[in-house]
Amino acid sequence: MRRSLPAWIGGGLVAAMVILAIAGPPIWGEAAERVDPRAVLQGASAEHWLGTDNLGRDLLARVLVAARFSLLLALIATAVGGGAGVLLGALPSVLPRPAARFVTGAVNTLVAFPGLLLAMFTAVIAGLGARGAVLGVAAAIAPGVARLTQTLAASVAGADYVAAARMLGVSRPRVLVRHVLPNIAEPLILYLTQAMGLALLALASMSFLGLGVQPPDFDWGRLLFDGFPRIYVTPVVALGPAVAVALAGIGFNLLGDALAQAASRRGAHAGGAVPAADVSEAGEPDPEAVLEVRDLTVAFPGGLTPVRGVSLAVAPGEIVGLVGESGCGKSLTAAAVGGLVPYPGVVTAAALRLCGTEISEMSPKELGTSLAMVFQDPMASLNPALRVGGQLAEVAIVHQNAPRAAAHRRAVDRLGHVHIPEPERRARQHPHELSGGMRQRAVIAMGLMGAPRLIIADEPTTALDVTVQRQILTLLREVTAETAAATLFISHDIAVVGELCDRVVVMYAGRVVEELPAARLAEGAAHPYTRALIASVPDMDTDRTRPLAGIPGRPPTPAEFTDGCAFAPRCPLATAKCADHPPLADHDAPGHRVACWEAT
Amino acid sequence: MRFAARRIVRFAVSLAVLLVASFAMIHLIPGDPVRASLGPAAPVELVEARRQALGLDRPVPEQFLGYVRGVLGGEFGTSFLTGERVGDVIAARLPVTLSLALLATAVALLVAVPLGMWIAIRTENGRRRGAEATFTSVTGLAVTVPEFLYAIALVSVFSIGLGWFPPAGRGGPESYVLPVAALAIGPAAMIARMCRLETLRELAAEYVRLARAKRLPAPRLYIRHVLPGTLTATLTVSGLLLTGLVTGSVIVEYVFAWPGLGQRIVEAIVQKDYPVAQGLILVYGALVLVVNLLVDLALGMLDPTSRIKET
Amino acid sequence: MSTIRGIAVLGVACLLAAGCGGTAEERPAQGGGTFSFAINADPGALDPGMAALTVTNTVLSLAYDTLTAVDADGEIIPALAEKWDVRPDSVTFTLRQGVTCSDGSALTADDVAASVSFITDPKNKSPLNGVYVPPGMTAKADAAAGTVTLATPEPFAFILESSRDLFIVCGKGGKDRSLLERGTSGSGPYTLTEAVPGDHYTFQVRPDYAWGPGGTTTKEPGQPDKVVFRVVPNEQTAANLLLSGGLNGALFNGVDRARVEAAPGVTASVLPAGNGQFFYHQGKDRPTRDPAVRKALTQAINLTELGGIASGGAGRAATTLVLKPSPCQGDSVAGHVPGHDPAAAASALDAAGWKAGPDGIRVKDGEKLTLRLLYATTRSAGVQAAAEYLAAEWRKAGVEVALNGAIDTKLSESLMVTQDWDVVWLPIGVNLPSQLIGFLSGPGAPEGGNFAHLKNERYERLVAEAGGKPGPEGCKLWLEAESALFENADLVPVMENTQLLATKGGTLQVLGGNLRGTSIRLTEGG
Repeated sequence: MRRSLPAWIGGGLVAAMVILAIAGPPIWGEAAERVDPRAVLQGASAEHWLGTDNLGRDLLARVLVAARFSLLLALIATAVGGGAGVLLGALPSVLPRPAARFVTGAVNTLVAFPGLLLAMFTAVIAGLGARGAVLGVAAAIAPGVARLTQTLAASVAGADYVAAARMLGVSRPRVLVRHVLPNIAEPLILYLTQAMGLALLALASMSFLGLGVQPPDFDWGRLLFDGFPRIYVTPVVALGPAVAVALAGIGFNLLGDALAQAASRRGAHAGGAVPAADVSEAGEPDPEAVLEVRDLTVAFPGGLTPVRGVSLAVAPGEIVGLVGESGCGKSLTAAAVGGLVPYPGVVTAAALRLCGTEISEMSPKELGTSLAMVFQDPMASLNPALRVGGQLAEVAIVHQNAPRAAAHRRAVDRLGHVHIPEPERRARQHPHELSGGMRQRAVIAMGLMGAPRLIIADEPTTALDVTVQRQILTLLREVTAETAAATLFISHDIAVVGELCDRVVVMYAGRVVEELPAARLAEGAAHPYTRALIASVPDMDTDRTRPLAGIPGRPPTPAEFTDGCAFAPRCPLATAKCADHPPLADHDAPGHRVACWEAT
Repeated sequence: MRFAARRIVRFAVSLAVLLVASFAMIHLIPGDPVRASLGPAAPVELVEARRQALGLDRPVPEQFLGYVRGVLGGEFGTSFLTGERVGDVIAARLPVTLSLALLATAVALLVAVPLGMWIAIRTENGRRRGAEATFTSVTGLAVTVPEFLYAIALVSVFSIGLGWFPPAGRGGPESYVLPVAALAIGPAAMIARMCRLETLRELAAEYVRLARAKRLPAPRLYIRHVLPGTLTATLTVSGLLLTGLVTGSVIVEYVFAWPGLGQRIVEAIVQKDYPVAQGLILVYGALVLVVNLLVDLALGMLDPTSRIKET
Repeated sequence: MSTIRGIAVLGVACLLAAGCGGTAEERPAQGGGTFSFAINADPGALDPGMAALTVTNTVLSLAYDTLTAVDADGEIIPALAEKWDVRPDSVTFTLRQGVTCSDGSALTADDVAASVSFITDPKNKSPLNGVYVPPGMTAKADAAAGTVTLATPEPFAFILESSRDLFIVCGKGGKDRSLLERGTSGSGPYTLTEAVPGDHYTFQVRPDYAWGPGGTTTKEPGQPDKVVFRVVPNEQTAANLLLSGGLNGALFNGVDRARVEAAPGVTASVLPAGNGQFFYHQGKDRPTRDPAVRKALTQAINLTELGGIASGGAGRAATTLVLKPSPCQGDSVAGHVPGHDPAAAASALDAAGWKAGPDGIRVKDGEKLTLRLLYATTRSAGVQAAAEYLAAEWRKAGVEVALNGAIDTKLSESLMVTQDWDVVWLPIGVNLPSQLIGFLSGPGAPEGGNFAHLKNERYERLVAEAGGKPGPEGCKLWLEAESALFENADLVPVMENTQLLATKGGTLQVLGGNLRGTSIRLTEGG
């Protein structure tokens, strides 16, 4: 709620303006009209805080009274403009296609024109004065509203329930009114709130130039028109209405902003201290391992530790799979290893070493060449604005001081290495010109620009077709073998992990619950969670008459973590002992460890 | 190239529509525009004479053709007020307004884009909450304050007060500083806000994450990977903002006594000098279309994906 | 294109009698250098025979001479004419020898005659015809004797004074008037070298100029080489420029006067700047045709307060209808205008048949008492305020007032042609009482110049009598004629406007709206 200070200010200002609009004329109306020829054109004084005008009328009273007219005009302009805009924007959904396209095109063209131009155009036609100005500003607002309505209506119109209604034979206008409009009301109202602030300013500008409200009527803009010539002599006479206009405009802006924020439900970061991690002794580096992680903890403010005490090691040429459900902390673990945990996360570990050196002590150059990362969405991983070849080449240019030509040659070479046909041509293309599978290969090729010691692949095939998946998995295995790098393969799909990896690490609720060779997965899994995961994978022999095996319940969120075994609530083997967190202990076979009291 | 050709065709169509609209402006005036400018009791001969001068006695299609032919040949009619050829007015005043608007645009972009990016980078993920709040409130305020207040404040402080710059008139480079500043502050604040949001969006993108994984040095990361995406979205908004400088330039021209289009168009509307009003609105509208065209073409070069998103 | 009467334009032009100024890019220096003066509008076409706006005359006064000039006391002094012989219906001027035009040719008597003839030729439609030049004036040149004789068909009281403001065109421009659109061709102390319409006009000094009024020349120390008129429509801007040294001189009507006057290094003098006054329309079927109604309406207003409001507190009491310096000094106003007496006004209106209706508005024969108040919306807000004040006060008296603010050209059209007004706020700036006759008597507009359709017999009798007497002798009658108008509430003089002439880094004289070219001096500092 702290964050809504702007909302409070905005709301307060708008409320004050509305009260002023209602109460102003009755209270100060008389003072605003009282002519005093002896007090003509005065500056600020005890009697007239904002000075007087040509007729000796008190300007403070006039500013306060002008609130009603100014706000009223702004309201009318917004309402008229908004109404016209909604109509124009809704029209394409009820008209036949050619007419709809015409209207859409017209609106798109109109949107490009600045408000004052449209307002001036309208003022010429409608004449000077409040009416012309209001129509002009309404004309300036309408295109923006129309465009918004169009976009919203189109997105809603694509929704299933609308399609269903159309299929059921509901007429277009009816669909519009009953289905589309109610759903776009909220964003529209937000937009119109801000539009009102803009309308206020626009009308003030029009009156300031002399195109708007004409005497003897007056609004804030007109008061500015009168006061402006005197600004160097008695600045307060112009600053009074200027401040009023500015405050009202700011109020509406802030209010609109705050409403928009609330609607998009942007969560605030909870404050609070980052919990200290329980880290054990680092110990000696393991000469065998490329990646050595001991007691890795990632903590966020508010006492959240999505990764608690994770330890694992990967040997050269080995593919280790890190598997678990969404939210178990596997991606965050990978990010921690890669040094990519975003602020305000804090990474602590007894040891986090790559080839014996602490990762935190490695230079960017070392990391850039020895670490390769592959993310889930290949389209998002490559910068759409840059050519593929360049994105690969820059690794060499930056970290290996390679001249551009040499770097590009290596890039092309690497692209060919990952079996991308016509690599020279592809290197010159942009990512969107490559297929999903090719893009992922390119990302892998990027990792191969240096001499990678560690490859971290975070769900690299999840976004790809099944057939392409196989190719990528094969490629990963090839690359790991030829470079003797260690590969950490993260996935939620235990079947894929079982196929590709040499070893599997199973995570649940931020902890490692089992570690075992992939070969033992099918029959030899010890932890109840792992077994449930295996059982839930359908294969060709699964009995299709029975429902898909799932695991009842859901994993806890980091906020729900307790000290005990996190799986206990869902575990068929749970006992009272499980209130204490079981340690990761060796199981019967070498390389197989389980964290469970009941594991047999 | 096909993209550019299509876009230019669209521009030409919009221009044609603008011509029709500016022509129709006179005819849309309810009642008789001639009577409107002369008053209700005007004698018939005067009305007829004025009507002839406007060419309103000929059939509408013929009038339109005459109008278009005239415009294409640089003839925009004659001012009721001063008897000048509107074309001369435009030729004399357009460069003034343009120089002001373009300079203000350039200044706004050069200041706002780096500022917005910098703030986004420093306050990413909720870091330095105070700085972010300060930035947001200051720019929010700066956007709302109208141009004439900036103009007045700048003149009072820097010209009358400190005497660093001339208070009015168009002359040497020092006379550009205050008008351009007055015009550019609001748009710069708007662009900085937009740029910050866009940069935050870019920073959250996967490819930036990957670029970070590649351990690219910060300047390269931000300029090569973050900036292009930021620029495309910022440019689109900026295009609209720049055409909005039309508004600002009118007011700034008034305060600083610059002999630009703004002065004349307000006068023309107030005094019902229809030929001038028509001609100047046409010019402003054409300016808007040209700016949009240039922005779209620039976008097409910067961001290839936007070309295929073209509707 | 339209039948705008020259005099009406003049009257309107007086509304524009405001800041003149030019700005220069260069800093002024002593002896040589550039003097910059601000003018508040573009002068437009520069043909002296067609120039109706005050600002145009201001600019032209640098490049052109007149036959005679006026000094600070209002006395006529020699300029192009060395001496003159005045008769009731003619005046013969003996021209000074050795006067040259800006193109090097000598100024001849034929040039003088041609300048006058151009204006009087109805083909040229000069707005000065019948105004600056009395109707029917002829000009005959005697090249051998070096004299020019101006004659009028009827005796004309101010035949000598009318030569004060006639610019004499010579040289190439005299033969081809189209050259005068954007250039000058005169014998004056400066000549136009650069014209950028809407922005500035630059004049270059003529070093051998030696025939200024009273024999002044351009060789005095401090005479600037160049004079630049800078178009600055906005008085605030002009004030800023003056204070910061970007301008040497400007005229101020509005609120910036106070700070300009108070600024260090500024020399300021207060000049009369026309009257504020309003007329009632006396056409058929107008409520204001009835003199009792007019008097009552006038009594309903506190004219002193109105004057203060209209001039923003900077005005003085009006004394005469003619611009100063006027050939006839005196006060025709005091004691002749119906005084402020709302009670008398109310009863007079009642007596005239206008009885208050249920909403307070007076009604007679089913018609509401409605007045359309026409006024010009210039940059000065004083007139706007005055109009609103009038409307408010008359509303109290039971009159409904519709405010009709118009701009310049539209005003003159409304005034003369469409006549859709009942009260008009119209300062008329004339230099001679005889120039008013066409407005205040004779055929009504649009046939004639009598826009308010006045028919004041006492006025007409008095001016006819005064017209037969040479200038100063008839002054008493001219003033009495004005008073006759006031007593009949044909028009109501409210106050005399003033303007501030402010200079910095230089000085100059402005007399009757014209610059005295030989009086411009640059001083050190600036």
